[in-house]
Amino acid sequence: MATTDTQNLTKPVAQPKTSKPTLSGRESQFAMTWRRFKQHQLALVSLWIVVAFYLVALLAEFFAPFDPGDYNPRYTYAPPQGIEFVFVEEDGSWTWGPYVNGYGTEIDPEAMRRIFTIDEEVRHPLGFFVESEPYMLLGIIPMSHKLFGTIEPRAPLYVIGADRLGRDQLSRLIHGTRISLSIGLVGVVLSLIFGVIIGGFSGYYGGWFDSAVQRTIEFIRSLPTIPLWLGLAAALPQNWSALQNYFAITVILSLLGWTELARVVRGRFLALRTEDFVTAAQLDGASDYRVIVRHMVPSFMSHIIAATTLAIPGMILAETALSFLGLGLQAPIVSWGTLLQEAQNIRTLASAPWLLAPGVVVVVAILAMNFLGDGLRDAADPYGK
Amino acid sequence: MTALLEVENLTKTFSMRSGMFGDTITLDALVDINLKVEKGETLAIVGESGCGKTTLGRCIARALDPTSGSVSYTPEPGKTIELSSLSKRELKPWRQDIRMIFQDPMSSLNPYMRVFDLVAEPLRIHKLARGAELEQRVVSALDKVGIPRDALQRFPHAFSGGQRQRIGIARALVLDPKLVIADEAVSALDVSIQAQILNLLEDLKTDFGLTYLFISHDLGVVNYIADRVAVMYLGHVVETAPTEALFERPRHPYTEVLLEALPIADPTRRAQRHEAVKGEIPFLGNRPKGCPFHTRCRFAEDKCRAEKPELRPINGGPTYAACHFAETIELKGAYDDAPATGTYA
Repeated sequence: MATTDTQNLTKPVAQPKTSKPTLSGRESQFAMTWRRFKQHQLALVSLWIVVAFYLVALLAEFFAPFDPGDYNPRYTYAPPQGIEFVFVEEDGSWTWGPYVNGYGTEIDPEAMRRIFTIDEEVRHPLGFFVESEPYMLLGIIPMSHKLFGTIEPRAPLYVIGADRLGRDQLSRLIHGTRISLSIGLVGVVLSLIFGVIIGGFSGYYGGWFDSAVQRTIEFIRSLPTIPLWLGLAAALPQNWSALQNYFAITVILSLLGWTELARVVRGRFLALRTEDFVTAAQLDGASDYRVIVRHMVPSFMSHIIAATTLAIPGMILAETALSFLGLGLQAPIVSWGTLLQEAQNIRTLASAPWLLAPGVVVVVAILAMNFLGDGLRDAADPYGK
Repeated sequence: MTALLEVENLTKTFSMRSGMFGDTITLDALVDINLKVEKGETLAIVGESGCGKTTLGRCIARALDPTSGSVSYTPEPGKTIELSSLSKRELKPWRQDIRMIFQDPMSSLNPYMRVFDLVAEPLRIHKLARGAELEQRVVSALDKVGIPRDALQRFPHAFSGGQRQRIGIARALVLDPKLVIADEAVSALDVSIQAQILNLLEDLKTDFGLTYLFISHDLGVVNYIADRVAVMYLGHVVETAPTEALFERPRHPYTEVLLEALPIADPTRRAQRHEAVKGEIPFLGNRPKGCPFHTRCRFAEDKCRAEKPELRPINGGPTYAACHFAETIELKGAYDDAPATGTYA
């Protein structure tokens, strides 16, 4: 062992391929961040999960087997069907291919309530790219195929169960993902704009403006959030459409969210303002804009990235909480929060626990985003470990 | 001959407020500073911590805006620019001529920029070069300070303190400056590295005809590099003199105190020193009336407590001192009782 080690020591150190030998050419900031990011396994996995989430959100109509509003009173609270892949025929031969079983119903003699049974006799084969009602993908591309569905039309397909109106929980979850994830993104972009501009001015120029901004932030942050949301949400006009409501809720969430980012940004500006290298840049004759963008921002980019990615789950949770309480988004808009509203009472939970599925999705999405944020922060900082 | 840089009645006042509704305290960091820096000389500014020497350097470089007074810069005879009244935009071309080297090479280089970009940044800001010419000027500036070419793509943290200070010097030099303000440029370095950097600064001065304003608290370093010394105390210049004259025969009691603070290797001579100066440096917001040094001066008399001495030529010579009794008091120089060969460099 020792000999191989010494041999390795005497070998010239291999240059990483990404660093170019030219004078001013060099591994770009992005390439360097990506190289470091790839070493962070958990963050890499989280990145793919987050990408998958946003892909599903973007192409919800294609991924969801049904429209979120499609209901069928015959299948209220239908339990999840398992997807089977192999069927053993009576003569012992095997049939391959995914299928779902049909439902049978019987009456529970004690509760006097209809309960579903899985009917092994009835099989509805599944297929990819099955024909469906025509719809518009992304609102512009006319389509008439779904990613998957039953080959025979109008057969029941409730992969993770149905809700109280016999609507497909999976389809609703996929459409809810779109709303919940986009509210997080739009809300955070709005907060980021407010936060960076206000926090930046506050920290770079200081003085009375800084005092005023800080007192405002303290005031906003000292308000208890739930009653504030309550008040703001109640103040929304009744006659607004669901879409207007959606935007109003986004703005309400970001009106509170910017304070956090503004604090982070201001703190960094204050700390950096007195650094010698900032004075040096000013003495070089650099404009305020150049000093900020070229000399100050790179050293807190990692903070901003982390604060932003960590703020998205906060937004999503806030929206979920608000909608769960019935103050945020309202039916017919489908979000994780409004879906969880269905699971509010104990009777439903006991008889239809699959209605909690959105909760699982929320947890997975939030965890993935947190890990992604951590990974990005570590990767964007060349002075990290 | 007009001086390259002339500072007249420069005053800098900071106001501090305790809390939002508290009283405002004004601190006079610089009071009526008058200085001349001749072309090609090295003027050292010395004084203890808090005397305003860094503030002076920053006011001249316009990292701070002076409260009143003027800083006039004369790049060529007959062309004098009043730096202290220029706006930021008007000042920009002159920032090429007057450059600054900072004390702490750890914090004066942006940790997120590579050496190439650090040194190229001043050229880019002033749009002086691009492409191959930019590369060539950056490489030659780094070459002058002895930083090898393969260091271009490294970040500052890959260098030692001395190397970083060299990069800082290259940043200053890349614009072909006329006046370099070195603010404690070697204080953060090891003694052996200090000597290297001082020699480098000397060489660069002769090669490029630079003028230095060398701010330092280290008299040994000052004795080595400076042609002339200005001693500051509590925001005042109390004495200016050619280096030799100042070390040999100080004319202000505070200068004597500074010289006595030089370490003496010989214990028998150490015993002959005066007592160490008494008291603390007074608080700037509550400065004494009269001579700023009277609270700690062993020669202080009533006149010193009542009347503030002006900086005036002593015996018509090149030495200026702000002391009522500069001609009469007996002050001890750095070489008194010292072996003939003794220097403090």
